[in-house]
Amino acid sequence: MTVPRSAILLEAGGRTYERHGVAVRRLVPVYRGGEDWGEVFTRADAGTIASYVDREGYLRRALANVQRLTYEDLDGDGVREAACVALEAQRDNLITEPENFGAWSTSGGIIKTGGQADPLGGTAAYLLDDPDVAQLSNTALAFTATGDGEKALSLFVRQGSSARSETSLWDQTATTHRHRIAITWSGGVPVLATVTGSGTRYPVSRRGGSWWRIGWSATGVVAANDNRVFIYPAATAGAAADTGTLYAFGAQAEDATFPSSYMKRAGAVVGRAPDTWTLSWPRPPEALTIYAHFVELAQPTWVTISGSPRILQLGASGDTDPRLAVYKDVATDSYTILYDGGTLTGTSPVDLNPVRGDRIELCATLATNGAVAMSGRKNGGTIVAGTPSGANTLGAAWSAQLLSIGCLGATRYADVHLRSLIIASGVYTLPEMAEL
Amino acid sequence: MGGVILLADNLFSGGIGGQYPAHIISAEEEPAGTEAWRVGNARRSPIDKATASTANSTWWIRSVLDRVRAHNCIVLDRGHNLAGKTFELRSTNDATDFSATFETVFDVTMPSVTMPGPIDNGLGVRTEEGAWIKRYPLRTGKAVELFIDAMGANVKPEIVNLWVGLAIDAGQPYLPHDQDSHELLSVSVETESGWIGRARRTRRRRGVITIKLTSYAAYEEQIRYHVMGLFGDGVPMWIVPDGDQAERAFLAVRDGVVSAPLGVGGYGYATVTIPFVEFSPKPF
Repeated sequence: MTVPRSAILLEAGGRTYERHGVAVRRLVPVYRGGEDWGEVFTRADAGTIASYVDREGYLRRALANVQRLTYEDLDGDGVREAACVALEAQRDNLITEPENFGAWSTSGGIIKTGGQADPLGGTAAYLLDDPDVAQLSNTALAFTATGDGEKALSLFVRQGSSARSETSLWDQTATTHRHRIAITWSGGVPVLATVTGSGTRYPVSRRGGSWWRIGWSATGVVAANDNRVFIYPAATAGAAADTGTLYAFGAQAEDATFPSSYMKRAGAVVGRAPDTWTLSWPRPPEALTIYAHFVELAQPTWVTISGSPRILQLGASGDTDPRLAVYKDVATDSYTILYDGGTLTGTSPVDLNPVRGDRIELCATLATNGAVAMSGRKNGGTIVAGTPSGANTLGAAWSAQLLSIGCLGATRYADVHLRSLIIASGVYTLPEMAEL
Repeated sequence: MGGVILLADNLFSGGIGGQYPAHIISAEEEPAGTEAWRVGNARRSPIDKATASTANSTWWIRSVLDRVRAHNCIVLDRGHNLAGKTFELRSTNDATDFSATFETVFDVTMPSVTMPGPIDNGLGVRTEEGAWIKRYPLRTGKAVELFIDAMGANVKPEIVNLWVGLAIDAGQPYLPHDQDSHELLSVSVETESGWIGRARRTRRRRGVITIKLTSYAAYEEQIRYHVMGLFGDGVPMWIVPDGDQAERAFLAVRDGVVSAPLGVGGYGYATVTIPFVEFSPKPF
């Protein structure tokens, strides 16, 4: 069965930009009120700190309250052809000098040369040179974490003359590497490996100008200790000294388990506000199908500030019923649909076991009898169906005529790159919705 | 044969009466009578143009949008003086005065001659009437700017009309399809001997394009907005009858009933019928 076009209530996301020129489908010209949906998008940054990746892979910056369209390679052909809306939670870059490595410490005779071409199209990158085969040259900068636990780190690197470099989150107080990783170049691609410590090594991401962004996490960080990020431009296995160069730019440390998009600190502006996106939804509870197609950014376990990150919620911002939510359940590590009519709550989870960078498609349905069901697939693979909930009663109205996309209230942010969000009246399958 | 490409959307059509009333159109220099907003009014007279006051100097013309929008096509209408000159199109989500980071969508030297070419040609295509058209990979931004390099001693850039917007690939036309159906406009006299004398004459394209949509979804996706909406409202629209021959693009307005009947079965194939008449054609 084909989903009739008359059933489509909403289309939003990166693909909508490609088809309609804007983030939410419009069928009527602007001057005739074609964009009067009560759409509100905010990212209340204190300055221009947010960034995104354009279709050539170059890093670009975005003003506060400007929605970011970042490009992903969804079919693995090395071309960033798919526009996606970036929806991220609030983050701070804890590195006070993410680009000015001249302000970092100098050890072992390291030579730091600024003025190098950087992935932002400027010349703020550094060439880090270890000239002494007898010393393990390095540069480091301390940062202050908020709270103990796992921290995310990231760095832009470009191959110099070194075959192998290293970087680490070092605890000076405990004199231990929380997570030290090696960067080995293979065919121009950086390959990460753990040298010591523990954490997650995330897939590397190509940028324009032969730059790559690497990201990893370090567990067991003690916030009260003296924590430092180290970069060793040239190091052989076994932490032995070597000579060679590495280009570096944009160091970032975050109080989180996974890195977010790069934040260019400027003076007092140290963090990026959350992306919040809402529209009016002047419709009662009814049979619905929600199709969400996105790139997962959070992995491996969805640890949040509080609550479960929202892909979408119909109803008031909070837990006021009746409401419908599609979210990441941090307790079960599943994508879940929930409908709460005020008396009964029904859920249907599906565990796709995603990793960062996976392409996720979810199909969440609400039936006329109030039952919900979730199905999904990862990277175009086999569809996994969750167990539907029991019947429920559809209320006369949602707790608020509000649709929240990728966010809910002040804390529950999706951390996804949204390719497409489609809401249709009626109940349809994932393949049917994916055809739209 | 390439598909029919349509461009009615124009991010430079701002202000009262424009497609995007909240867009702010400005230029580095706007001498009185040649203000920047004129590039979006679709008036094709060469005296209705935007230009600079300083010769042999870089000059930009810019649209600051009311929200992030996507675009993939540019047209410089005839009457410009940029043939053989270098310019670039820029798009930004950063500072809308382009003082910070921005994307250079393309940086070209406009061809001075008309050559056959596809709409995606790297240098763009100069049309048979002297306009210039180019389609490029989709870009988004909060502001878009045309930046023109210094053009030489005593020369100032002149732009009669500028389109930057989302062009749609409407699909293949029903065959047989006449790209060049036209009429002749002139004051004429025919004597008893059959001699015909004419005053200045203008060949004006006029006809109907019927496009077969690949699905009914294609109607909802783009046709309803661009054709039934903008073109239907009398907004001039660039028609490229064959995307592989962009030199034949022309500007047209509606001429009759614009319709898009459903196919057999209600949700089957649909067609869109676009009756057009060329808008302010170039006289002989």
